[in-house]
Amino acid sequence: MDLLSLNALLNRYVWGPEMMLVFLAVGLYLTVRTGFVQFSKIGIIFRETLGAIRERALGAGGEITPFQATMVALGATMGQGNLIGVTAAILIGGPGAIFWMWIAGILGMATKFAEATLAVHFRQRYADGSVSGGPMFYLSRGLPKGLRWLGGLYALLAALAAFGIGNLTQSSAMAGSLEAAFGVPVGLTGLFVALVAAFILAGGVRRIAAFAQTLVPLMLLGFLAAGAYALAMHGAALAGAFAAIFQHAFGAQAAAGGAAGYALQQTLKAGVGRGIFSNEAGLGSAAIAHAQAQVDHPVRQGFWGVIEVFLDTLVVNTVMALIVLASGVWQEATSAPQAFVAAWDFPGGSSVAAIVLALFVFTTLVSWGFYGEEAAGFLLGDGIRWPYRITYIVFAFVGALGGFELLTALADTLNGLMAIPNLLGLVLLGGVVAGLVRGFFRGEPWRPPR
Amino acid sequence: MLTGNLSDLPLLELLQTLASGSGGTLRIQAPGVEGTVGFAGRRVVYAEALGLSGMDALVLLTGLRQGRFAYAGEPPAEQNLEAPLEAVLTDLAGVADEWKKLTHLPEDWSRTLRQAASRRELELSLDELGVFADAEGKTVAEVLAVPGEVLARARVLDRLLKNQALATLPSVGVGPITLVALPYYGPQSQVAYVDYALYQRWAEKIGGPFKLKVRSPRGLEASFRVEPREQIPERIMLHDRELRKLRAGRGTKLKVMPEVEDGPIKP
Repeated sequence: MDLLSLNALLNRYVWGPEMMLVFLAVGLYLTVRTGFVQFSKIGIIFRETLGAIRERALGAGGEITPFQATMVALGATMGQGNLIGVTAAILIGGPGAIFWMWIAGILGMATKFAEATLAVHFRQRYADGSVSGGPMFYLSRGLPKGLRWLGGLYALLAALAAFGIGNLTQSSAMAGSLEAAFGVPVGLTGLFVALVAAFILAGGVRRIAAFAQTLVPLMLLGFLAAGAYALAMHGAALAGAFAAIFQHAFGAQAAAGGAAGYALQQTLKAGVGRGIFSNEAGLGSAAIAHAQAQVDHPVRQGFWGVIEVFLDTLVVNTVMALIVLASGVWQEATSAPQAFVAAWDFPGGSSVAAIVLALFVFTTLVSWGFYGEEAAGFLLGDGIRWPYRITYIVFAFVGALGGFELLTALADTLNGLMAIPNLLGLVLLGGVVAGLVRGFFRGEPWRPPR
Repeated sequence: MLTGNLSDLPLLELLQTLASGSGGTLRIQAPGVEGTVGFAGRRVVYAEALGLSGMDALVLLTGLRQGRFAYAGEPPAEQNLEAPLEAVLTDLAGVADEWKKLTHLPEDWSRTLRQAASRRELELSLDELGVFADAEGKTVAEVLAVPGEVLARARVLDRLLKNQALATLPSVGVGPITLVALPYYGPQSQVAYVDYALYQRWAEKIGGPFKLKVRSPRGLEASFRVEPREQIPERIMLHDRELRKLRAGRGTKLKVMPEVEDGPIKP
């Protein structure tokens, strides 16, 4: 078996239905261990996060504020998957896929809550006040001795996968989108992306956070405003779109027009896949950003983890899905990219789609640059940071030129593999998360591990 | 150098004693008040206290019933008054008589004024209302130190203290500060947590047990026992339930003031 075949086989497993079940099972397990935190504490979660948005510049005990950490994480999770990925889920699984995306997203909230909580709890604090954290730290510091190597494995996978999911894929998508919409040469896009990313990444986590806390909310609000306009254009079809999500949720119902109908298995697979992978809950990547947050208790950052999934999956993905459904393009289009552009069918809509896509993928590229650097730093020490940054920036440039299908495919598999040590760690550390939640809701102060 | 205490030698008598000298500077240090009076021959050429100058400063200093003083022979570098000592003594004799009538004013002007806790209705004149509204959280000295109004405000303050519209607490030497609210959850609710460093600063300054008075932007107030906690600089942690009672939540900026029960002040 050659490398390509082996990669294809592995890829099928790590992104396949068996692995999806594992994601769901872990989400369900953590939901139970945390006392159904995403339901039972939903009021507190909103009050502590979006309800306290006025204090977004305040924090203590970390590198960046909890809001900034969440924006870095959200910058990474909101990417092509929220736009073209959601469109593809509808094309493959029908409108009912969105229902299952919501269910998976809700379970993913507990997973992300646990990741963010553990990331802060087990983070490493250095003498200069800076911190590092993420799955590599909670796996290597929290697991029994015989399993601590999982932290190193996770870091290796993350450092390599960042070049694919975070870099080549995003840079290529941005260049392709801007070329199609505005005729911008891909080389020019690559150069621009590389220079801006270099400037941001060179400033370390504080500059990345400053960039994310400005651009990500603007991007989100811009997307929602454009989405509201697009939906207003199809106001009459909106109720029908919502109804279709529920009617088709259990599959086997004929859709009008081109698509004849969808089997339940197909609907489930497409929807659950989107609900799991678009918010990265279970991959552990966002925990690297959450670990940087200045908080007095890890559970408070866990709340932001829940909100991250809420914004990514229940807000952005839902708006995108409604645009695709209400516009009716899902019944005629043959490919997801084509349907995605066609869905924005108002004057200037294709330009809006290109800009939205470009922004989403650019923030992903920047945040993943930080994730990869942190993972490489865990493995090889701080000396690797600049060489890693420079390599990452070179990849951002050449990624725009295209032609890296093999590398991208390998990185995609490595990205999927990241979930294995992380999910295992989350299950084994479920008791720690439960203890932290109990302590927090008893008013006890946080005692970081030595 | 002549030193002593105003409780033994009130300002009026002190000035009469100094009238025979050729000139110099008198420095007064009382709780909540620091002042300077300058002489050149038999003229008073300088007076300053709590930002007041000239006769206003002398009127304020005349009201002090305690405080250390020190007189040295160097004349003052600045001049903000030009009055013969005899004329000043005549004016201040009347002022001192007025001060003697104000028996409800505390001797310690560093004490902090508080609106009384009782909810009974008060009938206040316009000038009383002005001082009443201005006094909360300030020291007696700060309330009195208004140019041209020192004695008038002292009379009003004396009345407000007499009818218990206002009360005074020993000064903790710490003004109100703004901290950002952070909720905590659980069974215990009457405790406010502040950062270790801030708690230690307060504890060292106050020198004894203290509690915290918290005021929300809507003017709602509550007092809490205070304990230190790590990792919460610029924050005050209050129980979620208590925060809601104050119509506040995470991120609300609260005015926080340490206060001690009435009792001896740390020297």
